Amino acid sequence: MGPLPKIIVVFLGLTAAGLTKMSHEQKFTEELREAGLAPPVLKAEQWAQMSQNGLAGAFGGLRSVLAFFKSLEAHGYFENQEWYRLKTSYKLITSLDPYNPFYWEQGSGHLAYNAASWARSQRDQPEKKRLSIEREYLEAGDEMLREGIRYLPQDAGLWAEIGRIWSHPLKRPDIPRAAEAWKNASELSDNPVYHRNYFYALARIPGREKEALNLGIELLEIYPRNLTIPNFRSVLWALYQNPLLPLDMRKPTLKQLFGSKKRAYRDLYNYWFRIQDDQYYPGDVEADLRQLIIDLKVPFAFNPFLSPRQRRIPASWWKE
Amino acid sequence: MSSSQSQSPRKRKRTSFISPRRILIIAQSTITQLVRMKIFYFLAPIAALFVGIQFFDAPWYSGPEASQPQQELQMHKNLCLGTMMLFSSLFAIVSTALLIPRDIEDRTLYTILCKPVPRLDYLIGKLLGVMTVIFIALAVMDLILVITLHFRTESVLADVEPYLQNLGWTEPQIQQTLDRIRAHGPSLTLQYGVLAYFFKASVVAAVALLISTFSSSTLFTIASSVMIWIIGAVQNIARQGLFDRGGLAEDTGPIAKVLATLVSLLFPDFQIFDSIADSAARAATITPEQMLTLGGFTFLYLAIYTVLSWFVFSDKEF
Repeated sequence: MGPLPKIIVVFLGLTAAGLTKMSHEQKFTEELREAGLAPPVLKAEQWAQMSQNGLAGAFGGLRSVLAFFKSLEAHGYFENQEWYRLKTSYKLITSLDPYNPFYWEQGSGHLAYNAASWARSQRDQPEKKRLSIEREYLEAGDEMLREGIRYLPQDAGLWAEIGRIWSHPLKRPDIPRAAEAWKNASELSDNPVYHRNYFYALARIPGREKEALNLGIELLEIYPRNLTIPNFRSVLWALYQNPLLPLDMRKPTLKQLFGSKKRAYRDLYNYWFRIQDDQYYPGDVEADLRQLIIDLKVPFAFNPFLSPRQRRIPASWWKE
Repeated sequence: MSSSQSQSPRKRKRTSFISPRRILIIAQSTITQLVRMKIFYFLAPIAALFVGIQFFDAPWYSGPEASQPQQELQMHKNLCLGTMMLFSSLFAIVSTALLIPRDIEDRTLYTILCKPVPRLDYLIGKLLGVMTVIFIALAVMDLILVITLHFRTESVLADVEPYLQNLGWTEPQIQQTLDRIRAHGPSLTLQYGVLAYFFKASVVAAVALLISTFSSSTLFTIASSVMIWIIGAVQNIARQGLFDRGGLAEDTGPIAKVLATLVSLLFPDFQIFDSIADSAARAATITPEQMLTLGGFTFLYLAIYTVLSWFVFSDKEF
C-alpha cells in the first residue's frame, strides 16, 4: 500500500476511534466540571485578552502556573495604580484558575480597597466624580467576589469578603448588603467571627433589632466565649433595652453581662462613639452612661458628654 | 532423514503474534539507548529549580497573617507540577521522534527486523521503553517535590500555629486551619496529579510514535507532535461547541463546525489530564474512580495510536 492510501486509512481509523471516544470524553469532562475539577470553558472575550504567552500557557495545560505569573504581573499594575489593566488582568487570572479563592479575594481587594481608596483621594477631581468612581470600584470588587461564588458556592470566605466591603466603617457601608453576606458566610462556616459579624450587622439595621437579639442570645449559648468580646457585650446590652421587647422578658443585669460597673463604663463609653459614628443601635446607652458617671464618679476626661473624645480609657482606671 | 525430522517441527513453530518477552527485551534496549543519550542529566537543573522554588515567594503569601497561607504551598506545587508536565511531554515527543531514525541510522532496526520479531512487538517495546524512562524521571522529580514540599509545609505550619494561638483562636479552630494547610502538603492527591502527567506524557509519546512511523524527518515528527500536544489541550473547546446547544454550535458558521468536528475526532483530549493535575495542586478531592477512568482513557488512546502505528509500520520498507 502506498503512503497516500495509508494516510487515508489512518485518517479513517482516527475518525472511527474519535466517533467512539468523543461522547465518553465529553461525559468525563462534564463529570469533572461538576466535581469542580475541570475548568469552565473560557469565554470568547477572555481568549481575546490573552497574549501569545498566555495562549501558549493555557494551551500547554499550564493554566494555574500562568495564573500565578499573571498575578505577579498584576501586582505591578497595582503598584503603578493602573486600575483598568489590573481589573482586566484579574478577570483573566480568575478565568485561568477559577477554583482558587485566593485570586477572587485578591482581585476584589485590589478593586474595592486599593482602587476605591485611590479614587477617593483624587482631590483634584470634583467630589461627585470621585464618589462615582469610588462606588464603581467598590461594586467591581463585590461583583468579582460574587462571580467567584458561582464557581465556589461552598466558600464562606468569599461571602465574608463581601461582608467586609459593605460593613467597613471607612468605606461606604451598606449594612443590609453586608448582613446578607455575613448570613451566607455564617451558614457555610462555623467560624465565630462570621456569626458575630452577622449579629453586629443585623443590630445596625433599623427594624431588625429583635431578630438581632435572638441571634445574640443563640450565639452566646453556642459559644459562651463571645461574652469576653467588649463589642458583643455592648451590642447585646443595647439590644436588651429595645422597648418593643415583651415586658416579662428576662434581661441580664449590668454586672452579669459586663462583670463590673467600671468595665461596663469602659465598654459603653466606646460603644457610645460607635452609635455616633457607625449608627449602631443606641438602646438606652446614653442614660446608662450618665448613671454610671454619677455612680463611679467618672473623671472629667473620661466623660463623653463634657470632654473631647479619648482614644481609649486606660486600663489602670477600669481595672481598679 | 534425521535432519528432515528435526527440521519439520521447527518449520511448524510460528512466531507468535505478540510476545511480552520480546516486548520487554526491546523496551530494555530502548531504556539503555535513552540512558546513553544522557537524558537523566536534565534532572539536575530540574532538581535545582525545585529546590530554588522552595525559597521563591510572592510578597502577598508571606507571613502567618497571609489570608490563605496554603497558597504558598499551592504555588510551589503548581510550579513543580508544571515543570514536570513540560519536561515529561517534551521528552516524550523528542525521544520517541528520535528512536526509529536512530535505529535506522545505527542499523539496529535491520538486525531486529530480520529476526522473527513482529513489528507490533518492536513498536510496543519502543513505546514501553520511553514510558519507563519517563516514569523513572517523573518518580525522581516527584521525590524531590515531596521532600521540598514537606519542609515548606512544616515551615508554614510552624509560622501559623503560634500566630493563631496569639490571636486567641480555640484549639479546634486552630486544628481545622492547620489541617487545611496540611492538605496542601505531600499527599495521595498530589500523587494522582503526577500520575495524570505520566499518563499524558505516555499518550504524547504514542502520538509521536504514530507520526514517526510515516514521517521521514525527525524535525517534522517533533513539530507535528508539539502541534498535536497544543491542539489536544484545547480539543475540549472544539468538542464543547459540538455538544453545547446555543453555544459555539449556534454562533459559528459551517466551516468552523467542520473544523471543530475534525479536531474533536482526530485529536486526544489532554485537558482531562491537566484538570486532574491542577486539581491535585489545589488539594481538591479526586476519587480513585476518576483516576481509573483517566487510566482507561490513557489505555484507549495508547491502543488507538499503537494500532495505527503498526498499520503504517507493518509493511514499511527501509
